Amino acid sequence: MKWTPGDRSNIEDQRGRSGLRMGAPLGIGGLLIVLLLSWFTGVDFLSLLSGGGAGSAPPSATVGTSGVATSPEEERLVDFVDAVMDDTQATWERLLGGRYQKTRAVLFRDGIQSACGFAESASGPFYCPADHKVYLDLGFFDELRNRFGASGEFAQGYVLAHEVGHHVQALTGTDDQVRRLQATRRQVRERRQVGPRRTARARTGGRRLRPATGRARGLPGRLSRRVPARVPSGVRSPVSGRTLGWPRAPRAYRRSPIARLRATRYGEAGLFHPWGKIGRMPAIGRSIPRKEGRAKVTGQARYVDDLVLPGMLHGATVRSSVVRGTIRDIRFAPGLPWDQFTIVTAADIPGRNVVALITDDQPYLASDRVNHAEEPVVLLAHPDPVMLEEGRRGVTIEIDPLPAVSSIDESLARREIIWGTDNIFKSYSVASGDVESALAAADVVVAGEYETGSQEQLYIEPNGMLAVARPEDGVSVWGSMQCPYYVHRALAGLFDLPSERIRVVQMETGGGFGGKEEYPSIIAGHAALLAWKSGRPVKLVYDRAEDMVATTKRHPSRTRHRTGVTRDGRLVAMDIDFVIDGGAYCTLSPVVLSRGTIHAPGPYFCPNTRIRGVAVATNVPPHGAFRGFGAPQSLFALERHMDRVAEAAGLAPDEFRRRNFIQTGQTSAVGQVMREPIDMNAILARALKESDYHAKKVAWAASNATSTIKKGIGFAAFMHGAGFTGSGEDHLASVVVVEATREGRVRVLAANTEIGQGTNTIFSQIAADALGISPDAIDVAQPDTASVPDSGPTVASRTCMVVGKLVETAAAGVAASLTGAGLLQPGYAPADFATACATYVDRFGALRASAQYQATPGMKWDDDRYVGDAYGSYAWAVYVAEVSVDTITYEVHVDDFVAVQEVGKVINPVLATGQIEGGVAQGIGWALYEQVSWRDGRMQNAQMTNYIMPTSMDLPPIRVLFEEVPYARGPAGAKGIGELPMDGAAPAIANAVAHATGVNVTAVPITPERLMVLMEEVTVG
Amino acid sequence: MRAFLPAYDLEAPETLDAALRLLSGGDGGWKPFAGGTDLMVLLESGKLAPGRYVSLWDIEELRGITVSEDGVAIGALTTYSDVLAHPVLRADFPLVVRAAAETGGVATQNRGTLGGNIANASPAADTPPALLVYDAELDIVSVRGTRRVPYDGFHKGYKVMDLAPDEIIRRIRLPFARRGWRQAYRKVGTRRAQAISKVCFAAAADVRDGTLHDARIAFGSVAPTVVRCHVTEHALRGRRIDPGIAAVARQALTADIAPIDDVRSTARYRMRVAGNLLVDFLLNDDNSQRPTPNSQS
Ligand SMILES: Cc1cc2nc3c(=O)[nH]c(=O)nc-3n(C[C@H](O)[C@H](O)[C@H](O)COP(=O)(O)OP(=O)(O)OC[C@H]3O[C@@H](n4cnc5c(N)ncnc54)[C@H](O)[C@@H]3O)c2cc1C
Repeated sequence: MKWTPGDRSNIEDQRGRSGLRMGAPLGIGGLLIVLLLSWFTGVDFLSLLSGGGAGSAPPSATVGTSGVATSPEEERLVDFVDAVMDDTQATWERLLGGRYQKTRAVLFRDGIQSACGFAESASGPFYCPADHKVYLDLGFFDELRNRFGASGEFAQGYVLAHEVGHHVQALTGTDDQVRRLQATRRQVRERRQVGPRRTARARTGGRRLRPATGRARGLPGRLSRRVPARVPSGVRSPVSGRTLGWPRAPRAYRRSPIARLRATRYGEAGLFHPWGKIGRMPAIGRSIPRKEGRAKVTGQARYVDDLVLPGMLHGATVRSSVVRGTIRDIRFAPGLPWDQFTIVTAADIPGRNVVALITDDQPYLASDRVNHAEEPVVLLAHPDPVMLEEGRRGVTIEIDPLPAVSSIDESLARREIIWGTDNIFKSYSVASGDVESALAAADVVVAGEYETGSQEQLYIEPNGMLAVARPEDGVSVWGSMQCPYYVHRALAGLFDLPSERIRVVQMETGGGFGGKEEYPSIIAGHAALLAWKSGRPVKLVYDRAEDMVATTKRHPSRTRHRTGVTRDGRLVAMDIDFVIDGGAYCTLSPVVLSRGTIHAPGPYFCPNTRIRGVAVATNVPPHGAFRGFGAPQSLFALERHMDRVAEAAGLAPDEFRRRNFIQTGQTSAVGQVMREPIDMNAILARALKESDYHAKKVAWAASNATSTIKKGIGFAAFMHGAGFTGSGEDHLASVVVVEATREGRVRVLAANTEIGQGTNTIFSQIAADALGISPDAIDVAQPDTASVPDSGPTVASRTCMVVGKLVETAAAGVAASLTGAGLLQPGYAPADFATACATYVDRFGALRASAQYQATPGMKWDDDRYVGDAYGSYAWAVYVAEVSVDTITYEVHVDDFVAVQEVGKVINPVLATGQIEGGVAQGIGWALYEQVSWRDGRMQNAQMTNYIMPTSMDLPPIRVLFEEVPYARGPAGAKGIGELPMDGAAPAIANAVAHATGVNVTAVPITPERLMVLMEEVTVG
Repeated sequence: MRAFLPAYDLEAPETLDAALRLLSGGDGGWKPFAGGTDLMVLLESGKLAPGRYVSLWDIEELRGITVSEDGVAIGALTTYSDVLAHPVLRADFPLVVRAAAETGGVATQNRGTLGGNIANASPAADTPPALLVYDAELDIVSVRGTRRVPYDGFHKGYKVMDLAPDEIIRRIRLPFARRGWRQAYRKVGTRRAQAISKVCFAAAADVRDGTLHDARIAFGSVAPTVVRCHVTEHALRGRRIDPGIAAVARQALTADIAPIDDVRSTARYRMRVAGNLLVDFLLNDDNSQRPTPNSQS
């Protein structure tokens, strides 16, 4: 950093004085936490503490002056502080003009009395809003260096600039806003006005980062400050003036059929929980703060890239630049110190060169043939990441190109066979009734073809792994992932080692969305191969560009529909042809195809249905798991098509659907008798009412005629099955263990990962209620295959419903052990639980219980014929989108969004709302903005500048409303929720754009370029 | 970070003289580095040419906005935030202010400079169309002296400028020539913030009594450089504003712009939208007031 000493006019030098102690000093540990909190949250917790606080503090009183011993280094620091303050303040003056008032940095030693109370030197810097000054003990800079490893002037300058930032908050009045907002549960609309603006936002695990309610609770010792966890009804948002609180159903809906259903189901299913018996407030249904939230916002949470081991090397992957071909040679540029590098090729693999998943077709490293661009061929490791990059540039892989296949049509045409004998990974054929005769007899037949594009998951943390691997010890990896046991199985094959010599540990993971379902097995294998060969720990972390070009994305799709209806608008025949592009290797395509196929006919009853699903091979990097897993693709086609069928049948979109929604007791296209209660009509009615659908349609018919901005409104009705398809859960046979310590703390052991969606928190809530204790007494173990049982992957909307139920059962098992031993009586208080645990452990030893998934009685699935009970439960939803289309630029903006869904019991409303908001935001991206642009089989827009993900300014208010009809086989009645919201946004938006413009939108993303072509065709033709 | 850091060097002189001497040095190879908002992106992705860079950031002579009777002179190091805060620019050069408001986010606005925006020579840069509408001139300086050139014509081709390796842009001059003209600016970039333009439009027209007496029309992202549309301006000059003007404008525009297909958009879209924006500007008087999405001004 370059600076010159100034006149120290920004400094108030109090180093020579020692402050009069006015209260207990602030302890160092606590203060560091507070400092970090302040640092990361932007809220000055220090200004919340100590002394009398703003207004009531005595003027600063000082006693005694002693001479200051100082050094040239220290004087240089004083000049530095002055220079940083000067520069920072000059910047703010430029930005704020007359509104800015200068502050000064008060330098002190030992302790000082500020207008905000007494502070000790260990406090670290803080800002006191009562006297508008920044306080700083220079010794803090040593602390920064020694404790936080932040040496250098940048960190020091950063801290000062941060404190000046608080001054600006105080001047502009935003500090109060921020603090008050933190104390309340915020809704989308309020957040939009104070949150960071204009930043392209990488996705967080399901929701935008926001301070959790009551985060400041539980700080150590006297620093803790209680913030109300619930908003009393009628509290108004300081920002919008709107009343805050959980959106509730209007009175009419509370008496809707669905509400009655809910009431009776709770009674019938015996779903009243232990709290009924023990008189304790349930944790389920409350928005308790995220378990790991504090660690994340204070920077204590550790991600793989935070790990550094002694002697560690950095790893890199050298990839094919050719789409398809035969490897002729690998050349290493002369002039580089290759002896310093660890170099791994396929020849170094100790076990099988296969990424174990469904089909053994994908190699860890290509040896003679490459099948897609960016395919890994060579691995390098080096102690210095800068040299490593030079090395990567220095390797040339010479490939003789072969003809390649780049689209679904080319693949189906089979001029070139690139996979198996027919380019087909998997196909399904499901039929009921007699489709051809029904089509022939139908009054109206409507055909349509629909396409969806690829999509990048854009989790906030790119993929990465760290490996330690030695023939004598086995292989251990730590990293970012969704499914530790998938990685475990893949490594066992790669190294040909028994499973007990493989260990996989999930680190804190910054989002997954399916993108960390199968791909982490590859990175883990690569890091481990380098570690195995070098004998040293190897860390392999992708940067954003590599993550975007190389890892899996959403399957592109093409769907053809032929639909027959009667004159009065009843569906009599659905003929659906669904094709997805799997890329160069099979990976998870068969299961993605399966879910897409089963969801293709949507939430409708149709007696004659035929669905063909096909997953084809093309020479692009393999497509893989992505939230929704095939269902968003087929549901997009369906719900866009249903609007067109309604139109052809002369019915309004809502009336047509009302006549065809599947009802309880009817049989689905795959032969599932829908035994669980369904009330799509009530959901539809609520969604249309909330969005003011009918009134808007009327109003815009008039206003659109004269405006260059055309308004439109559309909706989609859909469902999403939770858990693995068919017999999948039976095969997984997941296991969860719950154990209690002598002190009454409870640990949940499961392999399901917290990836931002809230696993830790909901597991704690579920276990807490099953045991009748506080969720604070529950710990969720870090997923580590050395210590947690295999409870299956964190995918398929199964974690809450399937694994959560196992948590509930195992926890109930612990409670039963205590009651069975006579140590607890029904109606016990939480404190009794701890006493009982102590007695139990002393008398009988370890207190633990496990639960294993049991097939649902009466559920049947035929894997060969592909018929039966596809999913134990479905979540049901109707989403409404309101859009504006600018006819000058063909840009579409979503102005309002209503999401109504029935998801069973909502375990944690804030987290559940976050899942819906995040899924809708991702759906809006897929519908309008995000386009993976391929050129010669490579993604050419692998940067966030050119891959257009929506920013917060592009998103509408997302109004999330829940209906809760409990599902007996889910914990406390919960169903799955994670994937559902991905399904509805795109078709609702496409229908809204069609309404606004009158053009037939058949593909997403609806980019301005595409919409222009469609609109020009209409004007011309 | 994909760059090989040992291959780079940075000097940070404090005077213009010292910087110019470095740039003129016999061994060559020194390149200017201003706010770094373009260069750092290249560095991170490993695409910045290795070599030696002269930081201009500390050079006071390149800062400041001075107002005279004829116009304003804007130092090359003026940031977007400086532009947004300046009362005279806000009053007399609203299109430059709007361009600044729609550039990047606040961090980029605090660090990115007008000189850098010009000299980076991206056809998608957002202030140049506005500068063209205001008949900007550039002061260019080197050890050999200072010269003043009209900005129109400064960009000779894709990333080719009327700027020698030893020269830097010192200031941008904008005359007070558009008072009373209708003005419009619109950046089309698909999303409402952090967007790179697919089409960027700036225009001013002297319309009195239903006749267009004179106009300045400029576009970004529709040709190898930002372009001023001389043919279109000429075709429109003296015309009455009526629906018939649309066809004239669209026709003439095809002579001025040459859009292409690239990773961000298509030639067809750019041509069409450029025409739409121009026609909308000519026919809808209210569009100079039309709020653009992320306006801060
Ligand atoms: C997140 C982000 C968002 C952005 N958004 C936008 C946007 O919306 N619109 C837009 O137009 N740009 C945008 N940019 C690009 C960039 O911010 C601007 O082009 C900016 O004005 C560049 O100025 P600089 O001072 O940072 O240039 P630098 O990066 O320092 O330099 C850019 C080039 O100009 C040369 N140069 C700089 N100053 C001079 C001079 N005085 N004389 C001669 N040569 C010089 C340098 O040698 C270099 O070749 C964005 C960048 C980022 C990182």
